[in-house]
Formats: sequence, C-alpha cells, structure tokens
Amino acid sequence: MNFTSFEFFIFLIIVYVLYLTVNHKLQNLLLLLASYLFYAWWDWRFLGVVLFSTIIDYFCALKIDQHDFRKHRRKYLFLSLSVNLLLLGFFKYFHFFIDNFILLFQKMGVQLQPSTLQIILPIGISFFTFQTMSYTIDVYRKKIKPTKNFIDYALFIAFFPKLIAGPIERANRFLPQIERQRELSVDKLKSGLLLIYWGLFKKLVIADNLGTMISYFSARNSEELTSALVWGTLYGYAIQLYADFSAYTDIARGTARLMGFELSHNFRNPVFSRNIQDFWQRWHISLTSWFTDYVFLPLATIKLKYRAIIPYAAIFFTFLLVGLWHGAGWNFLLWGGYNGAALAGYHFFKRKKNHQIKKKIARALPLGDLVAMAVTLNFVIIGLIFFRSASLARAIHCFSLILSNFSFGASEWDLLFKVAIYSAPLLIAEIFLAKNDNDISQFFRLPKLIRFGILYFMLFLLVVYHDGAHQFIYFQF
Amino acid sequence: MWQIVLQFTRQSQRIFLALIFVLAAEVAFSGVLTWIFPETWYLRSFLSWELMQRTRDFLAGRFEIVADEKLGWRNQPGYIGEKIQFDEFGARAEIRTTPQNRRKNRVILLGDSRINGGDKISAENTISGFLKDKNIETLNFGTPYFSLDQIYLSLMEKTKQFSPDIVVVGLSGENTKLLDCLYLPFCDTGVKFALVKPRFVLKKEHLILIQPNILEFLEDIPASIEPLAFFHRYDDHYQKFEKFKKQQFTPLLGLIHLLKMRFEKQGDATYQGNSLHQKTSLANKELANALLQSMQIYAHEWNFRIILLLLPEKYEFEIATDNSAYSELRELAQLNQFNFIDGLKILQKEGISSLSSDGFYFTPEANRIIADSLKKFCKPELTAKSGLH
Repeated sequence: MNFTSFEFFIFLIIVYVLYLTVNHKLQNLLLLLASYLFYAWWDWRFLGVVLFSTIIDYFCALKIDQHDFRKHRRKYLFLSLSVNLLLLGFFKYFHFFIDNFILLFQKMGVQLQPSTLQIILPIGISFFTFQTMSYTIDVYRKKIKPTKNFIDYALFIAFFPKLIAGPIERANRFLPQIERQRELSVDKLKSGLLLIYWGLFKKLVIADNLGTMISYFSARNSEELTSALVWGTLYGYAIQLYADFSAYTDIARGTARLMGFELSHNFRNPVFSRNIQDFWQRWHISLTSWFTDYVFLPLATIKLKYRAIIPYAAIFFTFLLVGLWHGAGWNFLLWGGYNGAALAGYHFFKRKKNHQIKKKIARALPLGDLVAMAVTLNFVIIGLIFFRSASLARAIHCFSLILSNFSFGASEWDLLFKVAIYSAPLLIAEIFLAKNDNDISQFFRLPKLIRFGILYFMLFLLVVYHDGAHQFIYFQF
Repeated sequence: MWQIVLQFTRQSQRIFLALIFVLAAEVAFSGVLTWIFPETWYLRSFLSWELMQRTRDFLAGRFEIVADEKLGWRNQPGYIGEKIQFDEFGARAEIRTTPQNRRKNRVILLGDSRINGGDKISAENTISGFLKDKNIETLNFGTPYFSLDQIYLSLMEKTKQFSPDIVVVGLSGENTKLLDCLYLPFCDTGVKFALVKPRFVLKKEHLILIQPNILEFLEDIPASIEPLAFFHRYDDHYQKFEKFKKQQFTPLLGLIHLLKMRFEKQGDATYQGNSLHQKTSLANKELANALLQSMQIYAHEWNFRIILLLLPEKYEFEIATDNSAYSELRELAQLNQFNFIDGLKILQKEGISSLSSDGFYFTPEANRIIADSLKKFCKPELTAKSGLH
C-alpha cells in the first residue's frame, strides 16, 4: 500500500476513525494490526520475517536485562544481532556475495554453477532490522529498560507510517510515546495534515515528474549522452531523490502526528550544507546517527597501535557499510567509499586547521558560505553517479562525459529548464523551513490570503501536473 | 480525541465555506476561462512531458517507427534495433528483400505489432518467419499501433508496390478502437507517442478519407491552433480534451474528477475481478464493416486474395464467452465472405491458452501454429476449401 495510493487513503480514514473511538490499550493493538495489514498488502508472505525478527529481539532484550553477567548478556545480544544480520544477509546480500564468489573462482579457473535461487527482498527490511538491533544493543548497554508488553514492542517495530522507509526510530524516543496516553491538539492536527499535503506535493509533482525525465534520458544509449544531459540528469536525480525520500518522511511524520506520535526529523535542509560533514548531519539523519552510534563510535575507540589513523579508517569503513546498506552492489560500495574518503579527508584537514589560511580564504571569497554550499552540493551530486548507474562501465562513461561532449540541443535545454522549474518550490520551502527551525507549523503564521493562495496553487499543480507513476525510491533499500 | 477533531472541524468551518465558494466559482468560470486562455495553453498541460519528448524523438527518427504523411507513421526503412530490423521497404527482415523476378508465392502480412512480432522475439519466430519457406516469400509489414483504416491504406499502397498473391490481415478488437480518432492522445490508447493518423468517415454508405497534414501538425503541436481546429472538426474523441479544459483544469473541480476516476477505477477492478463473462463490444463496428467491404472489393479488382487472421486479446483467451469483440469480428468476416483463420480456435485446439508473459504478444509456439494454419492456404493451387472458413 503506497502512501500515494487510493487504498492508503481509504485505509487511513478507517484506521483513524477506529483509533479515535477506542481507548489507549486498544489503540496500540489496533495500530499493530493495521500495521501488519499495511505490510501484508505488499506481500503477506514476508509478514513472517517481521514477526520472527520482532519475537526474537523481544525475548533477547528481556533475557539480556535479566542477567547481570556480561557473558550471558553477550550471548543474547549475539543471538539477536546474528538473527537480524542473517535475515539481511540472506534476503539482501545473498546474490551479491554468491555472484562475486563465483566470479572470483572463475578468475582462478574454477567453474561454478550460478545460483538459480530467486530471492525477493522483503520491503523495508533494512529499516526494521536496524530498529530492532538498536533496541537490543541499547538494552545491552543499559541505556534503556526493555518493555515487557509485547504489543508495545511489536508496534515500536511495525508502526505503519515508518515501517517501510523510516525514519529509523530509537526505543528511548519512541517506546515512551507508545506506552503513554497520547494527546492530540488542533495545532498537531493542522501541522500533521500540512505535512501530508506537502509530502504528497513533493512526491507527485516534483519527484515523480523529475523521475520520468531522468528515467527517460538514463535509458538512452551511452553514445547519445552529452555533458549537459549528464549534468541535467544528475541535478534532476539529486532533487528527485531528496523530494522523494523527504516526501515519504513528511507523510510518515504527518500521519503519525495525526495520532499524537512524533517521529524524528530525517532531513534538516541538506541543500544548505557547508561541508561534507555538515551534509551528513543533515541528510537521512536517522540512518547516519544509527551508524555513528553503533558502528563508528565503537570502531573509533578501539585501542590499537596506529591510534592516529583509527578514526579516519573508522569513518571510511562506516561509510562503506552505509553504501552497502543502500544496496548489494559495487556501485553502492563505491558511493560509500567516495563519501567516506571525503569525510575522512575533511576531518584530517580540519584537525590540522590553519587559521591563517582559513582567514585568507574567507577574505578572498566574500560569498564564502555560498561557495562552500555550491562545492559541497556539487561534490555530493557527482557522487550520485555511482548511486544511480546500473553498471560500473556506465558510471565510468558518465564521469568521462562530465567534461566532454558539449553539444547542446532542444532536449538539453528542456531538461535543464525543467530541473530548474521543479527545484524552485523545493528551494523556497527549504529557505522557509531553515528560517523557522524546520517547524512547518510556522506556515500558519503567514497571512490567510497568502496561505490559501499557496495551498490552492499547490492543489492546481497536484491535480493537473501530478505524475504518480513511481514507487518511493527508498522502498528498494 | 474526538473532541479535538470536532474542535478542529469547527475551527475549519470558514475554510470549508470558502472552499464551497471557490468550487462554485470554478463551476461558474471554468467555461469562461476556456475563452480567455488559448487552447494551445491547455494542450501543453494536457500532454505529458514524456509524451511530448517521445514524440520529439520520434520525429528525430530515434524509434522503429517514423512519421508518414499518408499513413500517420510507418516502420522506419533500414532500422536496426536490438532484435528488430527493417529492410529498405520497412518490412521486418534480417536480410534485404528483393521483390523483383520472384519465383515464389508472395505473401504480404499487414496488421499491428502482433503481426510485426514485437521486440521480444526474433524475425524467425514471428508468424511471417514461420510462414516463409521455399515456396512462400513473405513481407512482414506489421506496424505498431496500426488500426484497420491504416491497414486498409497500407494494403492499397503495398499491393501496388509488390503485387502479392495473398495478403494476410491480422485483426483484433483493438484495431477498430481508433477508427474514429485522428490524434492519439485524445483517445485512451496507452500509446506513448502523440501521433496523428488519417481516418475515414461514412457518408451515405461511402467511405471518405479525412487526411490531416500529418507532418506539419506533428511539428506544430502544441504551439499552433490549426491542428486543434482540425481535430475539433473531425476527431470524435476531441471531447476528452474539451472535458479536460472545463472539468479538470481548475483545482477543486480537477480534484473531484480525480477522486471520481479513482473510485470508478476501483469499482471497475472489483467488477472485473468478479466477472468472468464481461461483454466488450466491437468499437466502430459500422466503419469496420465498410472498411472490410472495401478491402474485399479492392482485392477482387487487383486480383489477389485476402486472408483475415483473427487474433484474440488476452481476456478473450481467458473468458469463455461469445459476447466479445472477437466474435463480432468473426461475424463481420463471415458477412463479407472473407477467407479467415480463427486464431482463438486454432490456438485453443493446440492447447495454447495464454499469451506471452506481457499479456499482449504471441509466444513463438503460438506464432508457429498460426503460420502452419496459414501455410495451408498460401499455396497457389489451393482455394477456399478444407478447413478454411
């Protein structure tokens, strides 16, 4: 059931009416059943995967909490992590490893039969397994007490607005919201509806229309691509990706808010990032903070001989995993490596900061912040070549085209013009949100006529220019 | 919690009133707006970006079909794709076709992409490929999206050019849907090109050809008003665009229309899911009949035989009913005394009960069975006899 589908619209109305009618205990049960129905709508067979992961982690967390001995606690943590990593490994990475394993043996002259096993990826698996893992790790670290109520825990994992594509919530933030009586207010309802409306606009008008263009030009033969088309599709894809993923988060946050829940922010104006570190603190925040807490920090604090390089190696390795989290492919691994190397390099030079050089640069560039933003954005966008390309050969060809084949025709003009047009509302909204601490409810402080005009114009664009032909991009991860 | 929601509803009362007022204004003024804004402005919004871009690329010759002044479009002569290749005449073949000094029985195949074979199979696996042997030479002019009127025009053109002994015309219910249409985006076809085609109208039982300036129109759309005026006059589906202008181009009316469409779609899906005996009648039956009559007369004049090859659609394979467009086509073939092959019957007899995985094209096996049936009638010494309907 897609957020933009008619079925979801009907589903939400029914669930919401029932939700408002029943008491707190039944609300949680209702939301859990609704979440399972929501998930089963994609493919009921994979509901077993969600349930299995939920049950294992529920019991492991309780067992970890029951024991004081580190050895016992570790045993259950190990069980929880292994089950989740095995699920992920089997469903997401099986083919990647097997295919590369066969390729490696072929290079050594040993012929192996390729696997004929067809494995379908359960939707949202990377999100819900990461959430349950963070829960058991936090219980192990004694940061939180495990809940004894299975329904509450199962709802923490499966709450339908965030089940498929996040945000990846932490138990210390989200479980209390499930356990306590939730409160609604008129302001919450208004801002929740506005978040859903804005999310639908971003998805159906900006992301899907750009998606159609990008897919169209990306399907062209490599010989037909020009530098302008590559740049246009890259910028277009970056905007599409941001509009698409942030739209999902906004609709998820808006839907949750209607029921009195508050989900985490996943984005904080990444357009205005001044450096690569700043970017990763603003982009897909729930994932990067997960990797920081559960991968980077434990790695960075390992005591080894070459202490000086450990933090940089930890950054690089963490980003390789971030890349792999997005998909089982060498392109994602390279994308992770590209960002990891940049971030490690940034930290290396930051540590050796030279104030005099910094001052000189600041004097030479009166628009220093703007330049920094442009450089950061372009660096990130170029990296998307790995992210988007179907093969390494295609990625290399796209890199070679960035600064060659400057022919410019009607298609090039059209693409660049459309990318500029579709990015305009997003940029205006970014400026507005950045000025208002990302609080969308500040929109209601605008004069009534302007508010109504904006919403009415958005509705016009939604009705006449919606595309609606695409799934959310992050569903594939 | 209900109290909060009710409080919110009470607070929003003024907004609801304002929306009702705006909706009333939209109803009152949407018709007036069509007088204020130029039609080309509406057309730009009516046509999706992808449709326009694909049409631009189509005009630039990037696809297997190219624009044609007479037929609307035709197979691109000399086109070489991954699986599809056309010879210098636009016939699907891996080698150059030599029509002069023939010694074989020459068969021309006309129809849409199912006769062409599509890009999932090679030329050898098409009906034409299986039909070809030492006694039969085939020219496969199956062209994507062709309707019966274009097949008729193509028949006249190709028979003059190649003097065939037999013309096989592949026909299904789909081929009559566009008979009353000039501009494909106005008709619900699912074709991802904004193509212009000729059409016929019936006047006092005579077929009159309506021939738009196809190349000029394709270049001018959506900037010029002239094609729209022409379509307004001759395209029976122009009302879809009119409806768009008046009912879908203002936010609230458009939203209501969108929701209505979604409800209807949901309802249709439920209905179709429950019904195994739906009736889909043949579109533009009268025009189709007149065109088939004219084909028959033309074949007699030019001394060649036409064999109608009736091809079932996916649902016609799946449901057991005589209430389909297919059975109406069969009636028309009998009425006009055509030699025809009942594709559905032949395939079902051979145990084929479904199309290829895309639900549209025939599998190579089905093509072979059809070609075997055709072969019996493609020998010059045979006339309309054994097994021929």
